[in-house]
Amino acid sequence: MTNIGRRSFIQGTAAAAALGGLAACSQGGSSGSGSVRMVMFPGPQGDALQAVVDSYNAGQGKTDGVNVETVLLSRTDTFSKEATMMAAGSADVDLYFTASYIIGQHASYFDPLDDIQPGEYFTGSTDGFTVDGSLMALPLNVSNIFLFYRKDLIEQLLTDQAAQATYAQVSAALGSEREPRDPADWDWADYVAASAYFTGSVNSSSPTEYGTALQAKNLMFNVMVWNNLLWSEGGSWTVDDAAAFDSAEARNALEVYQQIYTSGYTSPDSANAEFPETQAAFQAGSIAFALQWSTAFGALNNPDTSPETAGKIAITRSPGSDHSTHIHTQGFGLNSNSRNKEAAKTWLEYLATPEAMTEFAGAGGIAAMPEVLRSAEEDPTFPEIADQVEEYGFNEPILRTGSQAFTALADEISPAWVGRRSPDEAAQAANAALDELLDA
Amino acid sequence: MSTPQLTPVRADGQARRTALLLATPMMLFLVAVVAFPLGYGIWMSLTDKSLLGSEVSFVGLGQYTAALSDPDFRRAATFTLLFAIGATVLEVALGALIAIGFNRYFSRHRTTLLLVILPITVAPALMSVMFRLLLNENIGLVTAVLKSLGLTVSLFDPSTVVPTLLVLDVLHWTPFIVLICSAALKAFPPELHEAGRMDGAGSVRLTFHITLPILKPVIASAAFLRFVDTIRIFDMINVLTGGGPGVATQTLSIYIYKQAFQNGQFGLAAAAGVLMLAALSLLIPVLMKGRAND
Repeated sequence: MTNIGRRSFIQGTAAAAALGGLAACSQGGSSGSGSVRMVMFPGPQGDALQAVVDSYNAGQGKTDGVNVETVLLSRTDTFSKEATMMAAGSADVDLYFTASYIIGQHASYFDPLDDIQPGEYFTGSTDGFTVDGSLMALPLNVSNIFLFYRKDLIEQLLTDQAAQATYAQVSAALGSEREPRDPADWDWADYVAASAYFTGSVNSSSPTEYGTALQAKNLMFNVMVWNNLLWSEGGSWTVDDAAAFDSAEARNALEVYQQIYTSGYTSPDSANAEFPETQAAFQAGSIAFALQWSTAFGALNNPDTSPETAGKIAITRSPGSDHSTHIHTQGFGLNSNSRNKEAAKTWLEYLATPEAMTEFAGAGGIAAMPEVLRSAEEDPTFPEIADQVEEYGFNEPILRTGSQAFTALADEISPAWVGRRSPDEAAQAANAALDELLDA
Repeated sequence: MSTPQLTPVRADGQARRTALLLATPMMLFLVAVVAFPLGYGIWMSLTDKSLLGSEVSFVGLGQYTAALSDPDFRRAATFTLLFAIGATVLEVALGALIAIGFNRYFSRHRTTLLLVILPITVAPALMSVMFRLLLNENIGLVTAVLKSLGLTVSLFDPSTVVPTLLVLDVLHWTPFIVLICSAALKAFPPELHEAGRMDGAGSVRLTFHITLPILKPVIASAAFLRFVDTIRIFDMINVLTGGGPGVATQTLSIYIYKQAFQNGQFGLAAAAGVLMLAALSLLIPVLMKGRAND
């Protein structure tokens, strides 16, 4: 390198360092103003939040001196990418996207949001983000599970005497003769009996090939769906902070899935099914009902995307003794390494207002505020979601190893769902895995 | 006499410095993208680094012991090895035979060859999503065709899922072997076949006694590449089965991914990764020896 070249290099480096310093200063420092970078989940929630962000940046944000920028990572790998950022102590984003099922793992990388008024959120949502008595993330979106069913097929069953007689025969073959009931009043025996009745190989007059579609792929989200059975029968993962999976309730819940799968009331391919496969089964007219995530309704009721089911799909509470439904909440945690904490809090305070959440719901997001959902007219399921989440919603225990627990349970119990392991063995193995994680 | 001896020495020194200077950017690049991540990974495998706590402690070989004593790790390693052997054998056998057949009967149809090798140009994750749609029992084209023929096959049933995955991997990657072997066959001296024919050899004998022995080094290299690549398989199986039912189709890469990004156990995941690297490294001398013999 020549002298001139070296000098130019040093000058260039100094200029770059100065510009970098200026840029860092312009990011806001400790004041309540500046730029805020937040990770958002791509998809409908992301689109809905973007509408709120755009509105804020164009209006209230100018008054606050805060500009919000969303960072979209990946729909399937947002948490993986965030994990590497957290592990590296990154300050690249100010707000991490998080969820109630992973908050136990994320909480040590977040600052508590005790200054922010929790507003009018679902109690289940704020509970789901509360760790050691502190609110560790601000709720945004809530998800729960409904029993989706073909109302045309169920109405026909409930009104046709010949169909009822067949139903009685089918249920008697399963052990106890039953009369068909309104799905809102189903217990799990009704679910199994109706699954058999609507399966072509059992009932040759069935209008569908299978009664239901189990989501039995080895996936943490499928454990959440199955947890509806466990909780609705009084079970849980833990009792008094000790693993309680090796229980009669867990075995019964596993047996329900196993019976449906091994008896052929769901497709054999259910072993690798999750949300999209269940949607496809409804859209193809292959099934009469299934447990499915609340967000599925819009697509199934859309005549363009689902001509087979549009206008024929209804939702109701999950079956079982107390109709429990898993809920999880997605939201934002304040990165403890953020250099713009005050600005981020200013934005979060705005996001916690019913006005901001109404705008979010108006753009299609399932806002985690009951009154916002009840007054939203954009989606007919929103008021139903508000009622179900408030009345029947439950969170799984918030564990520091919560994400690990879901993964371990999926590994241990999904073979039992599809008859590759006995419910007894699966319950014991799952209990041992939980026990180990609780000690971790 | 001394001047002619000294001049080349100076020239060598200068050439070496120039070579070093020219190589520096690449060496820095390799340090940044290979040596540093590898060293960091090995260091991490000796710690209890986890998302569950910010403090990191040195645990020696504890993570290696934990991985080796984990039944899921052993199951994943066994499944991965068997899957890789099965897929490699099928792909190499089919790929070599297709290439030979292609060279013999369609050597002028370059467009056909391009179509045959098209699958390897598609990203594995994208290919897996396509398979997931094509094989979906309700909306999949393949299942619809099978149903129209009166065949009801559940491709993702626990008893059929492994053969299904194997077939999909073979469909995706056999064209790679076809490509490599086709390139080698282009350089194949036609006189050898002519001589064989004059001696009365038929197509089968020509293939097995002349073509395949000559292709052997190429096939061995291609098989090695496919084996190593299949050992690392992640995308397709993760998209299609997530490693299930249970952990029946969990590969080592999925195990490592789960430990790191779902369980936050970076130390354990790094140890499993280093073990996988060490196992694969054992194959390199085998390949080198094979090449030397060839």
